[in-house]
Amino acid sequence: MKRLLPPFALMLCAQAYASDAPTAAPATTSVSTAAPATDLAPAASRTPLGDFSLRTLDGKKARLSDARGKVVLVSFWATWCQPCKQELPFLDALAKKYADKGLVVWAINTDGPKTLADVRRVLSTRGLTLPVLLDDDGAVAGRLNPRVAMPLSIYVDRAGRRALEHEGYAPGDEAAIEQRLVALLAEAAPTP
Amino acid sequence: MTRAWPLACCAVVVLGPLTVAAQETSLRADERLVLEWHGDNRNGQTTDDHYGLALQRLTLTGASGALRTSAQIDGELFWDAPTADYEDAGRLERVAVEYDMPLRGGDLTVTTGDFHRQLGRGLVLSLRRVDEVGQDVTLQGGQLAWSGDTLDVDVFAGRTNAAEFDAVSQHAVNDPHDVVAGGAATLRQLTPLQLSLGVFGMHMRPRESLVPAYGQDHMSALGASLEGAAPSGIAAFYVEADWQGRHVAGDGTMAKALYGTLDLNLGALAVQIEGLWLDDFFVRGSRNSAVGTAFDYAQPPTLERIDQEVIDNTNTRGGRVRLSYALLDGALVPYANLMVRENDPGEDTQLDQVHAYGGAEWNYDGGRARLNLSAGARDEVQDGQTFKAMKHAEGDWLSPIGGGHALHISATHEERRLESKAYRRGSSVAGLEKGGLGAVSVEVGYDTSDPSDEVRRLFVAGILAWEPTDAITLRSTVGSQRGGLKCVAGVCRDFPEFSGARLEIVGRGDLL
Repeated sequence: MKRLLPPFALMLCAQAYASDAPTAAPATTSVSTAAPATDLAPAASRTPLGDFSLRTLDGKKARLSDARGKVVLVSFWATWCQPCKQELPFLDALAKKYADKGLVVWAINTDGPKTLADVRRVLSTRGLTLPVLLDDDGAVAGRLNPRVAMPLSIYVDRAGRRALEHEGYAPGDEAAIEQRLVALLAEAAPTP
Repeated sequence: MTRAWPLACCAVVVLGPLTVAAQETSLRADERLVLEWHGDNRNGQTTDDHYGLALQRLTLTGASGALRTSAQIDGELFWDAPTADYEDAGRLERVAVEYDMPLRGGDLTVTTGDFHRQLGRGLVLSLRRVDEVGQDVTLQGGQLAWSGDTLDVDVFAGRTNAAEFDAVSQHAVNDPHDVVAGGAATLRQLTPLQLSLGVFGMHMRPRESLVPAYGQDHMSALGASLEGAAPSGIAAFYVEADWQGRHVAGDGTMAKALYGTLDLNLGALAVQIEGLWLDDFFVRGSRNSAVGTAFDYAQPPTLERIDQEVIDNTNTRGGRVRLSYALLDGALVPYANLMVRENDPGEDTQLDQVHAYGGAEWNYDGGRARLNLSAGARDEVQDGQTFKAMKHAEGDWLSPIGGGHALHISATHEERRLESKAYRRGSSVAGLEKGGLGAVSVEVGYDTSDPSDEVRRLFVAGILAWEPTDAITLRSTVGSQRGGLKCVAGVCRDFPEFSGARLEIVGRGDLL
């Protein structure tokens, strides 16, 4: 085990370098000159998120690859997570505001059996209508959010690639969230 | 776990060639490194003081077209461990390979290696992904899942693979390797109420039988669920019925369970009703070597709030009602909740539990600020005498103060009584947060349950969180933190007191 720690320290440094590099690089691949400057990774350095499929609260199938050509904001949340419940109305408003521009917001719920019954109430009392996907056994969270951090937002571009991952929600994040989405929506759809 | 390598390699060899076209490929790492020094936590024990720990978890996830892979590598390294129960270890904890292919108008997903699976609402089987506070258990084997527009079918089989480090006791956990097989089918969106009809079942053979001389223990369970919602959104329901046959130490036992929820959305008023009946219903495997009790592979709803402990949830009946009223377009939601449970109904050990609480959740300042307040009382009565009682109050306030900063104060207080002993427990955290940068907080806790001089009753800790980039987070804690029951991410565990220093470093990013 003692021999394992140095590689992990190196791994952290490598990750810091890997994650810093795209952030520091200029966003030269954006097709729209009107897109605001953001911390999104440049399109050339983005990698595929990997497909996943879940059922929505009303039983419909939601598959990431079926949303290709749209910008998808994936947000992990739970009913016991106070910052999540504070962020959801804002995400709901964004989903409505930019729906016709090609934005899809998926709120992936990770409640376990002890609190799953609360999901509908949390949505109805706040008047939220955004699609809620149920990750009953945490299979998708296990891949995309292995530390089960909440809230966790993954910005997916029109080609199904991860443009940014952001953990947490604090007052004042709203402007940055909208700016990132506007920038992604301004990018061209991938050629089939 | 090392025997997972051949399994994973075989899967890659078999499934890899199916990826016929050159695809974009990704490989992502998520690393969590925790460095801790434990001083004297003054909990009356000397076996958990004066040692250091380095704990790391590396998760790698890859994707290429229809192929997805993942691996988790864990390790622990102790300094000056006080007993031999603290063991250095490093291992490949999880390996999984998934492949999607179109089949008969739907998608077939083949999974080999480690995977999580829950059936229904977790009464029959609940092996869910949980964070480090919970005991993460996967099935190590294979799963075939087909998903169409309105039908889901899957079959699975494997042996249980526990994360081999218990982060709470900081002791090693031996893999139970109990064999579990099962399957489920769900037909969805049946008109007119968008009904979903599900049937599921599982069979388990624990590696350790209770009395080996009586042969192999085993259990089987079957369940059915019906879920629906009115298109107008005015009402939604879920009901589940389960049957179980257990064969333990030569004796056969039949058990039953029933669970249901009803949501009524009556304009501003929302009514939520939940009912539970468990008739000696549980799913337990081999013994967990870190905590000394059997692995619990089911996780039924408890009717309780998530921050409340439930002593026993195997032989119980009860219900709860919650009324919520939305004001200011849902920005202010006052609510009241009443829960009644009977544990071991009709037995000498019957315990009657009542928990009433209420409060309000308020988002204001355009949603940027929040104030949540709640308070309630809980009683547990046995033989006409109050066995356990608690009055509690909680508050959580977050308010922007300009310049991107926010003030965050949260507090809990409990007045508890266990038989004739009365004590107080609680904690408060006050912090200054800045979005995208981090937070500095002070936590003060207290626990008067043990009046002896050598046990600490007041706890003070400073917490510093820093997010230099979206990919790296650091969190350091110095001081002492109260022990007792804490519920983190939906998992309740009894934590030991902590005194010392802790540094957590999280990094994530693309490697390819």
